[in-house]
Amino acid sequence: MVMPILRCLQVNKKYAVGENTVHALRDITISFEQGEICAVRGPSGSGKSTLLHILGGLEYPTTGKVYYQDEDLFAYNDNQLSILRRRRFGFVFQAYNLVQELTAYENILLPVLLDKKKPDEKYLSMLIEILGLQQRLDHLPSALSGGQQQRVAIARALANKPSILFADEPTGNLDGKTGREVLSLLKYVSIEMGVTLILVTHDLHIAEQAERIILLEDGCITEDSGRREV
Amino acid sequence: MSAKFSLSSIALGNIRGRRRQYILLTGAIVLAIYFVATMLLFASTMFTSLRERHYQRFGEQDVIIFNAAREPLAELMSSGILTDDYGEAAIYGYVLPDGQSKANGFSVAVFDENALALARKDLLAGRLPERAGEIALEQSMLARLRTEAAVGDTVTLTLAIPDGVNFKDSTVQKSFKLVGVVSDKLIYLDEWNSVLPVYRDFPAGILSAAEEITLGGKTVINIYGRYAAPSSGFKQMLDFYFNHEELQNEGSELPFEDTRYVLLSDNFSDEDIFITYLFLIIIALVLVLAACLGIINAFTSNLEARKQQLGLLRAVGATKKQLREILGRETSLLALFSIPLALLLASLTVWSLTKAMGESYIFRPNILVIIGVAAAGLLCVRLAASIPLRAAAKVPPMQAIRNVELARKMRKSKIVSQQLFDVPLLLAKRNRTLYQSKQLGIKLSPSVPFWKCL
Ligand SMILES: Nc1ncnc2c1ncn2[C@@H]1O[C@H](COP(=O)(O)OP(=O)(O)OP(=O)(O)O)[C@@H](O)[C@H]1O
Ligand SMILES: [Mg+2]
Repeated sequence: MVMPILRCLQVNKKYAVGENTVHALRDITISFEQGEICAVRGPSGSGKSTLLHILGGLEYPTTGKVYYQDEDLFAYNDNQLSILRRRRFGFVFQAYNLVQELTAYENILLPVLLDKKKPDEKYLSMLIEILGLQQRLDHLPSALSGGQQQRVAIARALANKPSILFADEPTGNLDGKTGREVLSLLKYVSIEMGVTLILVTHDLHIAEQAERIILLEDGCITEDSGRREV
Repeated sequence: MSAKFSLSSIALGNIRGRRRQYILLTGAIVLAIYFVATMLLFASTMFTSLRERHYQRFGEQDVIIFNAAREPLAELMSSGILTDDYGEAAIYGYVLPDGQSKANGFSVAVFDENALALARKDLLAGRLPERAGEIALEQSMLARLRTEAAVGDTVTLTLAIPDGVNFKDSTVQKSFKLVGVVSDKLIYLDEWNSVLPVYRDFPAGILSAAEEITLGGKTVINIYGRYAAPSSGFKQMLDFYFNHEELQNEGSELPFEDTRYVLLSDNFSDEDIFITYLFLIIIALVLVLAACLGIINAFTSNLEARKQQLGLLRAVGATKKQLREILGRETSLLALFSIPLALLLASLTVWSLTKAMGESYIFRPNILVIIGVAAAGLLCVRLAASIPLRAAAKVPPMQAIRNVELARKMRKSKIVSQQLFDVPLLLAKRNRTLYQSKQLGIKLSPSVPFWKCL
């Protein structure tokens, strides 16, 4: 068995809302292998986004632990966690992914730059070509279509050659056809780059194409297909 | 594709994208620095103009000691009353304008380099005498001589010869070539009418160093000196002469004339000057404080509008330090643009003000003031901005995805749903609970506009 790249242990997340608390995640224990492509499904409010944020180190769990390559994510200080995020993780959110004041190219370069590295021009131009963004690099996000914006976001998420890509309904704002295009691109680049992809999606059709499907209901994992051939 | 992309590009991009907000922000900074710079530049222009006017009228020396050959000059210097870069004017003779009486007369002397510089005999025409037989005269002396002579002409003077204390009654006639006309010194005009011993004189004619001094008499030398301590020099001089009875003259006149420049008038003491400065500094500080408040507010409201972007940068992996760096660069770029602009505007204002005030006021931009204001301005902008920047760096990465800050606030203020409500009223109330602290900051700024502090 391959060593898991990312795993979480008995993660609970509670939100206080007024007098009540919402139990968004209950005792989640799960692990992901390097290069795995995993879809997370579940009804609205089941805790998919919350799980993704905690796995990606964006949000703290109420209890439980998350390990990235056997390192406790939340034992890191803010600075170390930031550096881990920009080197090892890539994020594609549902919307508002891009810095509106920077061009598409500058947005893609952002994590590289924050890491004070010299951009790997060859790798980046390959990425840009795969995602079909050559003609759009000098545009500001506001001049790009929703699909193009998401492709820029994918390029940015991959710019630092991360080992895990988190995507939370990256096609939620797109129409069916464009959404499918973006998703297959996402899947394609992940396989090409050997990146672990954890993808939250409503689209059953897309989920079916993933190597592994996890079903989340009311904060609990109710189904886990495990890694399989597709 | 921008080849050189750096943290500054992010800062620049931000400024590009938020031009309106930044114009406001720049306006606030420019206005604040403009007020401070204008005030300080105007004050320094006034000070230098007044001083320059005094120098033009009286010369740059603090004191003129008459017939100093008798004085223990060395003691004045060794006891730290005078500086040792004094100048000497060796009096050659006393000119009798009508050839007979000393009325309306004036003396001519050989000035050394220091004395010439201190006495500020600024040339109006021609040049200074270089050879024996040449002379330069103060402008109004020509009138006293009732001569039409111009530069290049020869003037014949009837001279009384100094005898060590006074001037002899016997006279000598001598011709000089008038080579230059120098500006009048009021000090002379002020004094020439009063009945003073003639030796107590401010020479108004300049001879070359090559001139043979003694025409059979004893030299009288006047000293042009500067006080080592300008503020207390006069008093020290007085004490010195009171303690040396042998130096006092037959008359009650002091053997020296105090001509130092004092701000405003003699009645102003050092404390008054200090208080004037203190007052100016306090006004400047109040202005700076108001300016900082304006900058803090402008930045806070600017950052409020971009929490989502900051969260996104954090999510993508910017550390708190980097966030501060990016925003700090925005401030620096702003300061780089607004500070020179403000200084330029301030200089223009003071320039036109001095222009309007008349010829005797000259605008000389004080480099120290300009550098000081620029440095202080930069420091203020950075300091003022550091407060909102610190807050901005605390934006959690989750803010990129949803407004967690608002949710947190909502929880803290225990908001519960209302069943029946007046829409505008409830919204106004909610806004107050949720954005209270931010509004406070914005409220503060119009309540302390800097122009009111004037
Ligand atoms: N900041 C928060 N404060 C309070 N409750 C929250 C917060 N974030 C999430 N929740 C609650 O946690 C639960 C899980 O939310 P989450 O966003 O993870 O659901 P989801 O599965 O992603 O839903 P969707 O498919 O609609 O995006 C929801 O009930 C939600 O109301
Ligand atoms: Mg969600």
